[in-house]
Amino acid sequence: MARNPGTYEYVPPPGIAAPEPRKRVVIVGAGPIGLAAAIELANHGIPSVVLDDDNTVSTGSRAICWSKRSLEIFDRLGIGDRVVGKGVTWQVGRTFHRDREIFNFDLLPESGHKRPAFVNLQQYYVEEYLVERAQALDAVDLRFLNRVERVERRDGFAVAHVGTPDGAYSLEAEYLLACDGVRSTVRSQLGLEFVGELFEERFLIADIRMDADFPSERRFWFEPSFHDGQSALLHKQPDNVYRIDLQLEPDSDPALEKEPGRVASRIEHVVGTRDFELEWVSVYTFQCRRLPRFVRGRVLFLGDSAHVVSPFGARGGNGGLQDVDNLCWKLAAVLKNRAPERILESYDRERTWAADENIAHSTRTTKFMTPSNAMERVFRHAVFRLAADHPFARAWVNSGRLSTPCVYPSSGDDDPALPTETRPGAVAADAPRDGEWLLDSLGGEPMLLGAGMEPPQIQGVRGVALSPNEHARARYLGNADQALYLIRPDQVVAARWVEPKVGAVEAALTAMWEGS
Amino acid sequence: MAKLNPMGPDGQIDQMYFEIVGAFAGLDDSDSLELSAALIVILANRIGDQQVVREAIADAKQAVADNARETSQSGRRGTA
Repeated sequence: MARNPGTYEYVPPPGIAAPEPRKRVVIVGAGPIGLAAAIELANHGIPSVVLDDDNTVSTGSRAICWSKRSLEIFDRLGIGDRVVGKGVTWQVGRTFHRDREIFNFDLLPESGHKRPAFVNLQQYYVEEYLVERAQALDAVDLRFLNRVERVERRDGFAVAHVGTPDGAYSLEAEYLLACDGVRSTVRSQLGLEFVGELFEERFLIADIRMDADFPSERRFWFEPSFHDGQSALLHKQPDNVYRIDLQLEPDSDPALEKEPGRVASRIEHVVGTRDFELEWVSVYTFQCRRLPRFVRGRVLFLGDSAHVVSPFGARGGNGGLQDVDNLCWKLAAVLKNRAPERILESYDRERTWAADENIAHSTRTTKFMTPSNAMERVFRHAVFRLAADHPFARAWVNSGRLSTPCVYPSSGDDDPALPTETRPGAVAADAPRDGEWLLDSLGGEPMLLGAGMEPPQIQGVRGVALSPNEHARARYLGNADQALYLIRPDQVVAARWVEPKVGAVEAALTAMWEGS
Repeated sequence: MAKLNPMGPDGQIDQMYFEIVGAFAGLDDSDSLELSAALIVILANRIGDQQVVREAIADAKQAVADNARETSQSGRRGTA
């Protein structure tokens, strides 16, 4: 049977008895994004109330494939070791056409990084770890079975009207974070619509449990004989659970396809045995869409409530965590009067940019997977045929372009002599530092990273020195002997110099707090 | 970019033309389509420049569109 995670305790909220004082932040939704936001805000000293309509973790594996960037974010949230410890670290991906392997790739762990490229772990485990972490923090007030039914925008605050087993109450918040997923109540309450593409194809998604000795690999089939020429994807998860995604015919009947006997016989064809338990089945259609704006006055949208992509590429959960990463330090700075409210515009600007990149990748993958006319099928077939013998053509096969953090457009000072990997707008690359990891010592507040130099003393920013080992040199120096990097609280490079001037560094710091 | 020369000792352009059309000799329509697609993918990769490929596509589409227009105009004249 499906794993039964148990339930979390409902406590009657104080607002039932008497009106509560206005909260700094109310977060709607205790999925991975809402919980991560609450913990990250707590890291910045900002308390929040998290409201969830349920009292369990997610049903089914849902987001399973956590990227290196997400693991780095989990480190700051305090659950990185648990996720990596429990999860399945995979690096080999095999791609098949018909029943032949046309190529495989190996995401060799790049040396000099703390975290691997990807770890597979069911969303319900991630939520469980985040709930435990959140409940250990005084700054997080986590309320289960508190269903947000109505949201109002007022001048300078927002109001959530909440239903509970003991009746209804209202909660005012200086900022309300909508982390309530693809069917967001907050989004529909504000009358906001997604824009973008919906695709007709349906996918069947299933978790099965079986005692098999499949290697920790991602396997993707185009037109396999075992599945009527459609696509199929297999991922390994912990506890002998495997995730299978099967493309269905556009005219298939979702209710019929979910029928357990029918699902089991399809899956038997993928795994070659009937000796498995079906844990969870769902049917979904692709969409690649987003809200035009993620900031609506005092209501901010993160994760699936703001943008949705098709699942190939692991850009849903990972993209949402990067929203959290981008927003929380800015929101905390506004609430602490350290930055003007307009810094939140940079959240909108940077994360809509990132959403567009994720949507573009996801749309192209979806179109490659579902050729819409005869010529597309001809070209795709030609690419498959070439891929077997010509390494270049393997890159043309698109079974999902796996999530990497986007590089934000930046007007921060730059020096072209320095490596492009760490240019302004990019997430700072990890590197070994004195027996520890660089990223573990960055973040939370702005920092000046001196590579091969002592960072200068500047008011309002802490200095970190990085001695030029092999990795630090390749990622931060190139051919230069020294460089100074201004790193934002979300570990994004704001500006960098080979010959830093105090005035330029101070100006860059000011620009960072203004969100420009 | 190096240009092919029709007047050289081995008549480069003429030779290239027949090498291309010769590749399709004996193929049915479906195999011909697949060969064209494979060839386009390989050539695009060799060119390795999105803008050059984009311009080539635009030129080719223009030529086909012009041709279609002329054919339909001459068709109308024929019926007049």
